[in-house]
Amino acid sequence: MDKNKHKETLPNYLLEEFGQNLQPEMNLIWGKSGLAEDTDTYISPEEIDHALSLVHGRINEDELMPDKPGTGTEITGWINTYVRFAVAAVALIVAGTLFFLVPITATVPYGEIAIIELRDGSTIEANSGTTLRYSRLYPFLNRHIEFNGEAYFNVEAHKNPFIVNTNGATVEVTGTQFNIRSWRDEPDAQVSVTVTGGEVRLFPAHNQVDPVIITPGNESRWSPQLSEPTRPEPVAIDDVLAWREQRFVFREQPLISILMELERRYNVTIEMAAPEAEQSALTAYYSQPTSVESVLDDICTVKGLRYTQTTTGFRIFN
Amino acid sequence: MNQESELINVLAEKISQSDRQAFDELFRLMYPGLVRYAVLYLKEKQIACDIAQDTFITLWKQRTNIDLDKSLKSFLFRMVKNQCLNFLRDNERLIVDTDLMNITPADRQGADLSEYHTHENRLANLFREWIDSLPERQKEAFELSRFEGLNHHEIADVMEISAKTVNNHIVTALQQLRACYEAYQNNE
Repeated sequence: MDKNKHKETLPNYLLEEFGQNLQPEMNLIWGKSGLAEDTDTYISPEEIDHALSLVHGRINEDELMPDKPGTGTEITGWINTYVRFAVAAVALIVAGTLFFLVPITATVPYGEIAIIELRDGSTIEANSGTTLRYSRLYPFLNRHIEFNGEAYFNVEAHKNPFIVNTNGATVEVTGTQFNIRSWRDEPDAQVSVTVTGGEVRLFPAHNQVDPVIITPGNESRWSPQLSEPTRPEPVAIDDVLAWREQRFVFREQPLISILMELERRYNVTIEMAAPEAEQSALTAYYSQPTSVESVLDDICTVKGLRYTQTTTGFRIFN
Repeated sequence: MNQESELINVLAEKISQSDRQAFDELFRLMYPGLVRYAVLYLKEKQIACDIAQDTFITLWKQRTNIDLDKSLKSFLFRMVKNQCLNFLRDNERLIVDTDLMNITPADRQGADLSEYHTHENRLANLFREWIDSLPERQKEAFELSRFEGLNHHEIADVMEISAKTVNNHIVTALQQLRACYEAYQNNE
C-alpha cells in the first residue's frame, strides 16, 4: 500500500491540540500507527481494474438504455378548470417534445439481412440480429448511432459528423464506406472496423485522445481488455464482407462465435453441451451453404462432436 | 491545501464536464479508500466493493450537479456511509445471523505469514488491534484522518459532527494509542 500517501507527522489541525512538550511524542504515535495500514483490507491493482471495468459496463448500459420516464403524478383534490387546461396544454407540449427525444430503434430479425436508408442518404446494410438506435431528429441534431451487431455503412457527407457508438468503442467518420462487426455477447466483445473507402477514426469511448485512423483496405480491432485499438492492418475485404452475399468466412474463429453466427443467420437455437470445445478455433469457407445442417455436419466431423435436432434448433454434444 | 486535495478538485471539475478519463483517474485514486471505509461499517469486503462502485456510478450520473465549491472527497465518503447505513438497515437480520465479524481479522493478517514475527509486522498488528479496540466514533474519525487523508472539515462533513468534535475524537484516540504503546514498550 502507498505508505507515502499521507504525512508521517500530525496534520496542523491536530498539532495545535497538544502542548509543545507533547507534540514530538504524538508525532511518533501518529507515525507508528501508520504501520496498521498494511493490515487493513487490501485492494490490489487488478481488483481496481476489474471494478473499474464493471463500473464502465454499467455506465455504458445505463447510457444506452436510459431509465423509462416515471409515471406522471396524479392530480388530486380540486383544481381550477383553467389550471387543468393549462396543465393539459403543458403536458401536450412536453409529450410532443419528448416524442422527438425518444430514439428510433431498429432490430434486424434473425435469418434476414436489412438495408436501412437514413434521411441524409446514408445507408446501413445490417446482418441478422443487429440493433441500431438513432435520434428521431437525425441528421439535423446529430448523426449518432448506437450499435450492436454487424453492418456495412455507406455514409454521405453532412455538416454533422457521423459517429457510431458500439460496446465501449467510438467510430467517427465524415463520408465513407466501412464495415463494423461488434457483438456484445461474443467472447471478448471485440469491435472490428474495416474500411473500404474514405477514412475512419476509431477510439475507446472513454479515451478520445489518440484515435486510430483507418484507411481503405485496413482493419483495426478493439475490445474492453485493450487500452487502445490495434494498429490498422491490411485484410481481405472480400472475406470481411462475405456476410453481405450470405457467404460464411470463418478465419481461426472460436467455435462459440461461429455457432452464434449460425443462430442469427438461420434463426435457430444451438445449444452447446460440449463446453471444452467452445473456444477451439476453426477455419472454414462456404460460398453457398445449403442449410445449417450442412455446416453443422462439417463442424462436428472436424471437431469430433455430434449433434441432434431439438424443437427450436440443435444440440451439440460429445 | 495538500496536493491530493488539489488534484481531486481538478478532477471534479473535469468530471462535471463529462471527462471519462478524469473519472477513471479519480476511481483509481479513491476506490480503495472508499472500500476500506465501507468495510469499517459492514465488516464484509464484497458488499463494500459493490457499494463503492455504486457510489461512482451515482457520481457519474450526477456529474453535472457536482458542487465544485464543496469537497468531492467528503461527498463520496458521505455517500458511501449513507449507503452502508441503508444496507445495514435493510439487511439487519442477515448481519446478525451470520457472524461476519469473524471474517475480517483473518482477512487482515493476509499480508505475509513468514514475516509475521518481524518487529515491524508485530507492531503493525498490535496497532491494528489497538485501533480496532477504540470506541467506534473515535476509530472512524482516526482512520479517516490517518489512512484516508481527510482534513477535520471533511471528516466533520462525513460524520455529521462539528470539526471541534472531530479533533476531540482523534486526540482521545491518539492518547489511548500512546498509552497502549507505552505499556507495550515497558513489557518488552
